[in-house]
Amino acid sequence: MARQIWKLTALQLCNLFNFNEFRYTKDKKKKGRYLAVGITWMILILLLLFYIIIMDNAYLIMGMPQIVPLLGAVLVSLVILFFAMFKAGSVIFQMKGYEMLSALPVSKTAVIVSRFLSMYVTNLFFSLLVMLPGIVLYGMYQEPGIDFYLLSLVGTILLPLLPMTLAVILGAVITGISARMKHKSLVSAALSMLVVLAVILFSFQADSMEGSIDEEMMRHLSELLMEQMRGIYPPAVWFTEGVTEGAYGMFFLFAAVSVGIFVLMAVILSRFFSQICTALQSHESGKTADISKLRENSVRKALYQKEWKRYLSSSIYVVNTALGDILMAVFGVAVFFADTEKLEETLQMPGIVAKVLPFMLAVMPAIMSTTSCTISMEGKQWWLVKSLPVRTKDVLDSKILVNLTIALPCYVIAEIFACLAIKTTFLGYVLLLLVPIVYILFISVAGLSANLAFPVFDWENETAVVKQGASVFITMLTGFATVGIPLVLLLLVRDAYRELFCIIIMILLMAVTALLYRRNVKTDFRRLG
Amino acid sequence: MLKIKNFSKTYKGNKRAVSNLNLEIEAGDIYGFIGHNGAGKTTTIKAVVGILDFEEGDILIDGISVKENPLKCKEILAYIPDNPDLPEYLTGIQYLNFMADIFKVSKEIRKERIGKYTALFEIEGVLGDLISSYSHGMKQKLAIIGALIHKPKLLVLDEPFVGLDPRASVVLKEMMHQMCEEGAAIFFSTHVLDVAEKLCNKAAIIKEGELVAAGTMQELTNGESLESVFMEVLGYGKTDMEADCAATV
Repeated sequence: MARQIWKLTALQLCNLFNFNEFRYTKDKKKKGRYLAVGITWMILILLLLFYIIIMDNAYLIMGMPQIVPLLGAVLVSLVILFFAMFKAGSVIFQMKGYEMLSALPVSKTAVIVSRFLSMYVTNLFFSLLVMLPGIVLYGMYQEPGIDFYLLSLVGTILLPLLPMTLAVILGAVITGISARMKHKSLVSAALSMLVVLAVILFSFQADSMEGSIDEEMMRHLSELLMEQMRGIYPPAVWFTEGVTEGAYGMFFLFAAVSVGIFVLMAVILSRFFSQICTALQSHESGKTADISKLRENSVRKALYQKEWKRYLSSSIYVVNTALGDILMAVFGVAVFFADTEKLEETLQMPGIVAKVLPFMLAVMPAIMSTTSCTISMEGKQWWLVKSLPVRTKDVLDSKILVNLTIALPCYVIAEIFACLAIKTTFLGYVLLLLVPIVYILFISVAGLSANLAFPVFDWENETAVVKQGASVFITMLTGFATVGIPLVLLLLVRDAYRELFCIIIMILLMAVTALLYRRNVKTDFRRLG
Repeated sequence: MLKIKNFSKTYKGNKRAVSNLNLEIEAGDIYGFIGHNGAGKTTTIKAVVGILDFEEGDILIDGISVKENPLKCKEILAYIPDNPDLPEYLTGIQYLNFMADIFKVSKEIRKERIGKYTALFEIEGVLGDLISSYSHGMKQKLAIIGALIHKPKLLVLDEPFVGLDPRASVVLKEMMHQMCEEGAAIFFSTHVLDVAEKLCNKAAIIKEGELVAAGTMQELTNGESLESVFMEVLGYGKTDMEADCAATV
């Protein structure tokens, strides 16, 4: 059994981050592409490491050593919960690969455990990345005994188990509920987004509690946060108290709960795996269609409808791309209800909200666009688009339209509330309306450009393109940079020139959008894939 | 209807898939394209239907160059790949309606053709289901109907009989004959030599990217079976093969 688990896990992990394809592909362009993705990943990892080291160092200097392992544990757990939830359906409960394996002399438990392990390894990597700098820095500042290092390491290894288990249960419940609905992917996406929004609101709430404390309480911030976390996620507190105070009982409780719940779920799953998979992926069949009701559409409309259906068919795709637009709307509403004048007073920067708000609204749709992986999402069906008598322009327009279909209603909501929330000049209102829409158009086109440059068609799992695709990273970084840099410069520019500065940025952005669009529509699909 | 002139295709890494290929398929022809795995059949077919670019030679469909005017060519041809990966998020009827929209088939004609073909292939009962729930054979049938919906002048198929049930194979062969009688041309690759021999009036054999034999079925076989001719032109002696197999077993 152990050998089977090892073999199956190794098989799944050998192509982790496309490493196996990178190693053996003879296609130099593909190799270069994987290398570029690898370098991007390395940069992101280094940035994350840098951020964690700065944060941990700050807490240690401020005399709050306990916060270092506590926040590390919370961060690891939240991130794993968020990402593993979407993977549960496609990795753990995927029937396709399981049917193939069940024809081989491999036990059901080996298949399930290997699936968990392959997920666990990537999560463990993240856990080590977040926790190790904290352990080293804590050790340097506090000079604890050897038991701290031992417990911290064991704890870091155990840390992903509980959020992974919870994520699988949540993912299964969401898949299970949505499988019974007519628009199952949409329902699944909506439920997933509700969970994500709940997590975000939750963390906002935690932030606001932090913000309301005075200097006196600052000294007791450590205890305050521990108490707060005890209510939110007790295992993180058990882990922290275990490693920092040598409370072995607490640590044992953390380890026992993590391992116990994980093992319990593995046992239940291996017993009812087939039934769960069937229940999750149930669908009706044998439906006839009324041919007499067929309607004639223009080529553009037909392409758009197909594109829209493709979009709604994937909950991972919807959640990862629509979230930015939804957050834009939520942010607009939040600004309306927030006390912006008080915020400006606190910051001693009158009128700052009106100045930065257009860019703040733009940042969220600018980092998540449906177009950044829309070509890759065609996958093995790419032959169909290539073989049809349709212009490249029509195909790409339909893909841009899908992004606009998601973004525009959110934009309208955000703008109505944002315009009501602030008092500014006529030009200020014009910029408030103009900036986000220019960014939405820009990222729709730039996302397409990125995906046309880095398309991936030979994927087995949508997660590979939606979450790990090079074009998605590039689009995200482009969005961050194109909003972030002007935003920083805006704060440096003298007050009198700020509106002019915004107008120049918008003209530049529109020019780049037009150039990229012209370049995109000249793409010869025959050379792609 | 289809003219392949000095067509060559070299992939990255200087891998030459097809070398200087010349073929001509006329209206009314059912033309079989035969070769072993990796001989260059699919590469040729993909270039013909305008989904693969190429630098050397030219391909003309009804006198129009695929290289220069792929859209015009695609309007009059239809292509069915060996493994029809169709949009699984659409229902069967949505896919067919989409194909009819793209090829600008009028409402009345699409209703009539969808009704006729789905009944022939016996899939009218599942047209409301998502394609993701279809078997390989059902997807193949749907791809065929989608390809025929605009009544193409040239039908290009890559291994069309793989995965089809016996009845659907018969229906497809009948349809191919009928299309040719109406003036269309059919160009298809196959490994099933018996089918090619019975169905095609012309055939070509390709080996390692080069054309080794082409002509009418009668000229090619000259009284022998197509299988014998195929083994002979590829340089395999049948008796040697039989001896090899016997020794291995």
